[in-house]
Order: sequence, then structure tokens, then C-alpha cells
Amino acid sequence: MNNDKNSPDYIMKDRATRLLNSCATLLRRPGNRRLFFALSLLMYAVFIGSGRNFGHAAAAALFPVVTAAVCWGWKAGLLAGLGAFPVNALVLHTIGYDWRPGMFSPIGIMGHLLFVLQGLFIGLVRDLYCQGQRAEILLQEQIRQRSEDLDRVHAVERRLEAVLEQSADGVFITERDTEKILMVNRAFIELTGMRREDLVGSKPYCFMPVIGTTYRSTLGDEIEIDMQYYEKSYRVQQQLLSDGMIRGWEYFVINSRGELVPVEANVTHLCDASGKRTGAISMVRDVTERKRAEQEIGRANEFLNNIIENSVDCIIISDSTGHITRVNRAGLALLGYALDDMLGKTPMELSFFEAGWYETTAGDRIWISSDDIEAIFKRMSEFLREGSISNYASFLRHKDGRLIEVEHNISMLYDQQGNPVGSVSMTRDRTLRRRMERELCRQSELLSQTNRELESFAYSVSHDLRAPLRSISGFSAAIEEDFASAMPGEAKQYLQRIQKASERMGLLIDDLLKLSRVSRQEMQSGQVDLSALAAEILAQLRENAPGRNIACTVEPGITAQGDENLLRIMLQNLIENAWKYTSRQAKTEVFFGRADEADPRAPAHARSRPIFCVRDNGVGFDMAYADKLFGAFQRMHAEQDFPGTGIGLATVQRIVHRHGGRVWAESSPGNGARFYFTLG
Amino acid sequence: MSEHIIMLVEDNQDDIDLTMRAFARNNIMNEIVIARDGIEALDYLFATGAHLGRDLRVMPEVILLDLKMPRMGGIEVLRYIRSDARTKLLPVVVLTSSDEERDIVESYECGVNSYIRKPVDFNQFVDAVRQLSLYWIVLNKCPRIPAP
Repeated sequence: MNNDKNSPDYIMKDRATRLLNSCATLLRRPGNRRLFFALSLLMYAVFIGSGRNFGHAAAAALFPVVTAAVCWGWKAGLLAGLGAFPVNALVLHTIGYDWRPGMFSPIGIMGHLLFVLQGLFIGLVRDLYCQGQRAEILLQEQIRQRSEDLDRVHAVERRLEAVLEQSADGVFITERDTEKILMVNRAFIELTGMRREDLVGSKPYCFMPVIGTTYRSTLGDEIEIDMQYYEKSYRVQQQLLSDGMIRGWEYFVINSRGELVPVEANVTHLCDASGKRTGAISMVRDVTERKRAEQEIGRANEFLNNIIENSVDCIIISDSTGHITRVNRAGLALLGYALDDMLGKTPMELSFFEAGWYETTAGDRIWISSDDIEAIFKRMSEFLREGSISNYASFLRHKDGRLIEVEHNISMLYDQQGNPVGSVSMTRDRTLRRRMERELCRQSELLSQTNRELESFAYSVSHDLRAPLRSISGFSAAIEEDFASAMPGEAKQYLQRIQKASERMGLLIDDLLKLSRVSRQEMQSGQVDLSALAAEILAQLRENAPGRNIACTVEPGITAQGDENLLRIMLQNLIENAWKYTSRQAKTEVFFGRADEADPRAPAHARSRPIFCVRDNGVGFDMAYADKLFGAFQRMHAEQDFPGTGIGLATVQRIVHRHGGRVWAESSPGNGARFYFTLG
Repeated sequence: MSEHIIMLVEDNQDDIDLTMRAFARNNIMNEIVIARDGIEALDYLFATGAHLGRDLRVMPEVILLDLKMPRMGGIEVLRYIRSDARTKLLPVVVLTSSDEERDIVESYECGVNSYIRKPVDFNQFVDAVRQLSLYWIVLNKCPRIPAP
């Protein structure tokens, strides 16, 4: 039709149409119509007046008939024609002009009727034309409407396409008959990693995994596509056929790298207006990240579960109504119940107890007063108010009725809005601790009893053991004094030996008492300046032996935590030993300070602690006897060489041990000795 | 010098003999009153029991007190002495075998004037007795004891 626009026919038709249109428009106006009709009547009158015959009158009748036909259609034209004839006859008759019988002649009537028919025809043609005109306008309108509708549909379609294209979810549309893909969007292309042209026109099998093959998924794990997967897919397809749609169908898509991409799809059948299925649209979402997050959550849950299950403490989780939803192994073991016995119960239900005598799991028998029960309830209501409870020492009741001494830590759990959703209670069994405390108590009682015994032993040694010695010494002296003249020289010598021996025994007793005192004495810990103590002791020794050639070194500023009195005794013993065993050297060298470097022979636990050292250039000792060095009354040298009772190093060791330290020594005969110690 | 009485409270006969010998060696001629335990000592000091009717104006110049004795120990004797107005100013010297810290502390807490440990060696013992007598009998001045 468009092509014919410039054809002469069209132009002509167009012009005629427009002319008619304008005429019709002109005539449609009522004023114009009246004017036109008036003009017709005028012309009619003029014709009638001027006409001398019927021909003129008939011609004159044409005007109103045609005019009426043109203006109001054929019905009006018919009326005008029928009316015009008698009016025509009447007027002509009245005015008396040219009245002839021929007027009613068949020819005259025929002529008139012809005019009427002409008017009718013109009116009919006009009506038909107008009708055609209206029909064409209507058609044009309809065509325009249709075209607009079509444009709108296209716009919607384009928008829809854009929406689908922009959708974050992958979309593909399949045709029913060919099973081919009609359309895919960008997200689906990205999801599969394939090209659009490879996808469109192919069947969806091109991105579906093959049964019996093992793939690597985008989550990094290996997945075998088994029959189960296939059966599930089949069931879903059946459901799709019956329901026309599927929501949340999880399956795998193979991407261009050959990896399984876990997806979740919504599939809907597409139907035409008659409801016939034409294809399907699939909206596919890559759920790799979600799966990963789920895996993470799963792992976190597993982690948490492990912690909860492996906890030595009893963990009980309750819901907001206080009913138990979870108990760990330790909890079951602690309370003696099976899991099913506990779930759904409240801790109160399980573990309620009234005032009375109870056996505890620690083996004690205890009295629970009603005040105690009240205190428990009070504490629990405090917990409900404050939302947590820490280190609360209380009791639980074992299934067998015994009480378990425990320590509670309970926290309320809240949701994001801050409403309580439950509570988690971590309960520590104190049974073992209680038993150990009791054992410790017993041991300490035993120890203090032993100490008391030792004390009284030492006391009587101190008082009673020396008295006979004094008698031995005193009376042998008395014999010597009183009867010296009557005695042979040998007897006197023996008496002297008795005195010497008793004197030595006195020393031994004294030293033994000193040693026991070192163990018994209560420790008063403080910061002790070891350097000052060593310097003091050396100064004292130096003062008592003015003749000796001495080179003593004390490293300044060495302090330690300990009992000053005991540490003084210890240093005194070590330094006096050094002093004693260097007495034969030309020059006495004694050093006190920190050990230069970690001694490889230092006990393992001494490695991280400061090591102190007393070093001398004395006679030294044979390391073969090093293990006997610190024993009481163990001596390395003959009494006549170096006097002593052998209690000094035993004392040193006891003091060091009481400070939690270690003492050890190294030496070789003639090369001096080095005594190392740590404190705590 | 002979009017000064030395009181020796000691249960061990050997120690009594040796102490007497030490006094003799040091030419101490004072009257020595010997009590063999705490009860005897208190009887003498307060004129009770065997010493009933004793003239309480006569009091020892110094009391040498052993600690560990049957019936009543030295510390208890010391408490009695210090708690009675008649005797509370008497010089008391503990003379004992022990050098246990707790004995020393307790003695001083109860108001002892001196604490001497008997040496095992007899010669040292003699020397200790000498110094002790010299100090308490000769050098030391005591307040006059109020009459009962």
C-alpha cells in the first residue's frame, strides 16, 4: 500500500476523497445545510417562476431533492422528491401558469420519478460513500491502533529482553518442539563460560554433566554424577511436566573449564494464548558461593561441635523456655543420664534437690540447708536478670542421687533483637579437685605432723643429747685435773681423746640441728642482695685471716627473691667452703657472680633462670664423687686435711631446694671447684 | 660477797656437779642454793613446801635456770617469778643445753635477763661460768627487793 502512494490513481482518489470530505464537512454543519437548502428552494422558486413548462418545474424539483439527498441522505431525498411533486403541481396550478394536463402524463410522472430516483440514488451513493468513508477511517484507525499496540508489544519485549539480559541469574529459554535453546542471557554465558552462539540453537545437554563421570566442582571437591543424581533430575522433570513449574531445583552445570557449577533453578513452562506448551524458561543461579558459605558454616559448626563434644566441662544448651536442647558427652557422663533422658527437660527438673543430707561424688557427706537452696534460687534469679553467671560454685544432682560439686558459668543467648533465645551453661566438675584438696589437706596435715615430730625431735636432741656429752667432757677433764699425778701418760692421752671426741660430737649435733633448722624454719621471702651478702661474708673471713693472699671478686648488683636469712647461711657455707679449700693455695681466689654462660650440665629447668656461681681455685674434688657431694655428713677430704662435719653442702642444697632451685658442681682435683645454683 | 646467794635450778646431777666444779675452779665461794626442778625452785623462792617459813628477805642475787626439767620447766618458773611482786625484779639467767630459737625467744618474752648456752667442752664451760658470775655477782647492780 505504501508503494502506491505516489501512483496517479492514488493521488486522484485521494484528492476526490478529500474534496468529498470537505464537501461533507461543509454540509455537515447545520447552518451551511440550512443555507444550502434555502439556496435550493430559492433556485426552485426561480426555476418554477421562470419555467413555463413542466420540464422547468421538474428541473426545479431536482434541486431540493438532490440537496436533501446530499445533505440528509436518501430518505430525506425521497421525502423531498415526493414532496416536491405535489408542491410543484400545486404552485404551478395556483399561479396558473402553463397548466397543462400533460403535467400528469405518464412521461411527466416518469420524469419526476426519475428525478426522485436520481435524488435517491445520489443520496444512496452519498450514504454508501459516507459509510465507506467511515469504514475506511475505522480501518485506518484500527491499523494505527494495531501498529501502536505492536510497537508497545515490541517495546515491552525489548524491555523484557533487557531485563533478562541484565538479570544476575542466568536465564535460558528452550523451545518445546526442537528442544533447542532460543535465548540465553549474559549471566548464563558467564556462568557457563560458553559463547552465546554456541549456546543458542544447541540443546541444553551441551552444559549438562554426564552420568557416571567424576568432575571437579567449583568448590574444589570431586563429585561423581551417579544414578541417584539422574533419578533426582528425572523426578524433577516429571514434576515440571505435571505442575508447569519448578522452584529451587538444585543441579549441576558444566562450565567451559569442565567444572561442575552447582546451581539452583526455577523453571517455568511457556504457553501460547491457547494454553499450549511452547517451551520453558529457566532462571539459573550459581550457588557456588552459597555452597561454600554453607560448607564454611558446616565446618564452623563441626569445629564448634568438636569443641562442645570434646570439652571436659559439661555443656548444656537450653532454649528460651529453659528446656535442654543439647548436652555434650561430658555432661552425660557427669550427670549419669542418657541423652534422651535429658533432652526436653529443664536442668531444674533433672537436678533438683531439697534440703537434707547428701553423699557427694567426692565421697563426702554434706548437709544442704534450706538456706542453701534459697541461695541457689536467688542466684539463679540473679542470672535471669543479669544474663550471665560466672564461676558460681554450686551442686548438681547425679542420676544416682549423689550431689556433684560444680562450678557454673552460664550465659544467656540472644538473637539480633536482643531477645533471649536460650542459654548455654558450662559446668566444671569439682569432684576431683575436692578429692585432691582433701588429699592435699591430708598430706599437709601429715607433713605438719611430721614437722612437729621433727621439731620435737630436734628440740630434745638440742636439750638432751648434749648433756651427756658435757658430762663425758667435764668428768674426763675432772679426772685429768684431779688425778693427773696418779695417771700414766697414756691414760691422760686417752682422756684427752675422750674430750676431743665429745667435742666433735657436740659439733656434729650442732650442725645436725642447723641442717634441720634450715628445713624447719619458716621462709620469709623478699628481695635479697646476694652480692652484698657475699661481700659481707668474704670481708668477715678476710678479717679473720689477715695473713692470706686473697683475690676475691664479687659481681655487684646480683639480687634474688628469697629468704635472706637462709640465703645468707647458704652463701656462707659455699664461700666458707671455697675459703677452706683454698687455704693451701699461694693465692686465694674466690669469685661470686652469675655464671658466664649456660652450663651444659645445668638441669633442663634451670636453663631459663639466672645461674649463680661460687668459684674457687682450691684443691677441687673428683667428679666421680659428685653425687655424694650434697649428702649429709659426706666428706671428700680427710678431717686432718680440711676440718668439717660434712653438713655444709647438704645445708646449701636444702636451702636451694626450699627456694625451688637446683644446685650442682663441677671440678677436678687440683683445679678448683665451681658451685652453681639457681633460685626458683 | 658470801651474802650473795646464787640459785641453781638444774635437774641433772652431772650438770650440778660440773657447775659446782666450775664455781670452785673460779673461786666463787657464794652460797649456792640448788633446786632440782621448777617446783623446788618456787618452794624456795616463795617459802612454801620444803622451804616453808624461810626468811623471804633473803633472795638469790642471780638465778641460773635450766629449761628442760621434770615437773615444771624453766619457762614456767620464769613466768611465776616475773608475775610475783616479791620476785619479779630478780635477775634470771637461763643456762641450758639448747640454742633453739624458740627457747631463746620464749625466754626473753618471759623477761629473762640473759640466755647462755652451756658449751659441751668443759673448759669452755668453766670459762662461761666464770664470766657469768663475774658479771652478775660482781659487776651487776640489782634494785633492792621490796620486803614482803
